[in-house]
Amino acid sequence: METGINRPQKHQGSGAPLTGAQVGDANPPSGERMNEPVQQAQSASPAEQVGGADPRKNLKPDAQTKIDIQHLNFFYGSKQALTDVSLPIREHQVTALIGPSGCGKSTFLRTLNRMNDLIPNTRTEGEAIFEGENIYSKSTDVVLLRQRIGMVFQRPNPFPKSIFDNIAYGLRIQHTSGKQLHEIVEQSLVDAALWDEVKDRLNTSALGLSGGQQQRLCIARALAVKPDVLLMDEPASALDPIATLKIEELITELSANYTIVIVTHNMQQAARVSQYTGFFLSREEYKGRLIEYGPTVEIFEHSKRKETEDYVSGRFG
Amino acid sequence: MSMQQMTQPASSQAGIERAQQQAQVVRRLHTNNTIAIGVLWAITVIVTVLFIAIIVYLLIQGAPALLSLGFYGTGATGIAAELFNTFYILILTEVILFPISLGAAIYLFEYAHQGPLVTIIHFAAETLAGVPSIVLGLFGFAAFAVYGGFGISRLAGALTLLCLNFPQALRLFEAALESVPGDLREGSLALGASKWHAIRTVVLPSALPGLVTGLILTAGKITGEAAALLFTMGLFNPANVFTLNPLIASDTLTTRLYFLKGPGAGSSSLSFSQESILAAGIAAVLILILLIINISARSIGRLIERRLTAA
Ligand SMILES: Nc1ncnc2c1ncn2[C@@H]1O[C@H](COP(=O)(O)OP(=O)(O)OP(=O)(O)O)[C@@H](O)[C@H]1O
Ligand SMILES: [Mg+2]
Repeated sequence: METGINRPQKHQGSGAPLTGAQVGDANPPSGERMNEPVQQAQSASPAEQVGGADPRKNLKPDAQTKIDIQHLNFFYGSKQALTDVSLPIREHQVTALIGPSGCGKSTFLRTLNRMNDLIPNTRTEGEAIFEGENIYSKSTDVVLLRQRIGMVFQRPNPFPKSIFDNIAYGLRIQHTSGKQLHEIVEQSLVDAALWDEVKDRLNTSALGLSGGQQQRLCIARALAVKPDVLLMDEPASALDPIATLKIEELITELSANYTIVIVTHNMQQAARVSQYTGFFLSREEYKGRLIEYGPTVEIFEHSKRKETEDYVSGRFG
Repeated sequence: MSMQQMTQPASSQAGIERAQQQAQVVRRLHTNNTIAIGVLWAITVIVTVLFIAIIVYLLIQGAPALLSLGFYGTGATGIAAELFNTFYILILTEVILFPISLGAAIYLFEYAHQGPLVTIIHFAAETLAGVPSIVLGLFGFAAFAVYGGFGISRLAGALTLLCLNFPQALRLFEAALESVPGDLREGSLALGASKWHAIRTVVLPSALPGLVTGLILTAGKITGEAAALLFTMGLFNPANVFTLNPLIASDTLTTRLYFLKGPGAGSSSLSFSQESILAAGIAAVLILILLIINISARSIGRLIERRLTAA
């Protein structure tokens, strides 16, 4: 239980003035650093990166809780993968989930849209309150839930259909058609920063796009159904630095209207795009625990737990 | 290992020895590789030549019949009725076989809990696949012709062919579904699709090349089957064979061939040489049909695949 998790009340008190002061201090150098080549930006330490990136500007300490996860346990068969995870997902904020491989980040993310239901013999305990209802409850309509909570996967997975049909896929499920369908498809592609590249080839196969384009297509496809929450599992891990930056910019823009949860192995990325960060760790004694949660700045610069500090500074195995 | 050795200085005596040893090892590797390539190449060439020789031989043997007009008629030396029956029984069987085995494959692969029941079904299907077709023919006679009340008829034949081909069709269709990446299913479900919607709009279209290949491969097997039809569909045609009535007995190219050179040899109005020419012609026609089926299986499957993934 005492995992050092910062519940909302706590860091709202301690976090707000602190971050407020630092935004002003850290801003001037940030402009310079952002203009440097990608390689250099990535070699900077996470803490510096936080100072150099924008997201803290968007930090809303008083953001509402969109999904409130309480005491979540998750099991693959008899094997526990998540232990007593509690954290809030803040509305219109980007929440980054970090932690070493196998610590349960994907598992956690997939509980939020009940994707783990597809894996036989899994069990979920605890609750995740989304709009007054428990996501994990048996009576939840998963089809409706997944229309409200969309997902972008690690590997781009466009359907072997045309670009247009890919974006229209979710809309057609909801029986959107005609002029409205075309408008939303276009808008989604614009929002996903892909429209200019594909507007002349909407009827060609989506499989002919580059990896980065395919991933933005998948984002557009998820946006088209207008979800409230967007879950992203390492959305940029298969992409080159330029495409990655595009996706990151996109995430930052989208956070104005969407609540986003992103899993990433890239500390700099977490620092660049997220306002809140959760650090997961799996040990023999406790499988898949949330070690620390708080505003990204605090996690990266003043973490309260040694494990977190070791991990974000790269001292972790 | 070898890389490590290469980076060591070869100045010392030991170093030189090691280098020589290594050269010997590498030479042996190359020699073995060359021998393997040679043996495999020879086997491939022999088998290929053999296959082509068989096909060419049968076609040449069949040429006199293929080139005579009477061969395509309804007379004693004609095969029009058998051609009609062969395609009739092919279509009748596939019309039953395709939906049943595809439905079973979808249920077993996409819906069923992967437990002992599914294992038992697969085991049963594999066992059925190993049953000789002549034995299945006997079963079909008892089950469909006698017990089912269809008599010796096209329907009894088609149902027997269904039993014969179901295991293979099931396996091929399951493999086609399995070849669809799980990513695509998840992508569809994550957009709020129901499972059936995901199967219908994403899984089946992606599996289409495999499904078509499965369909056509079983079509080849149906066309070439004789033993299972001997007891269930008979060896003779009624007066009016060009009808869609499924309850009449009739022969096919394969059973006609069997009768002609088997139990019926010498019993017809044909001379021995006429019989031989006719038999060779039927064999050639069968080979041609199977060739066409197999080539189209490949090219149609590939065509659909290209359609689906075209840039
Ligand atoms: N389908 C599954 N069946 C059984 N165990 C699983 C399954 N998927 C994941 N696990 C286990 O659950 C634990 C958490 O896995 P998860 O994929 O959530 O980790 P992760 O933090 O996303 O790792 P990564 O960063 O490598 O993606 C791991 O020990 C993993 O082996
Ligand atoms: Mg993962």
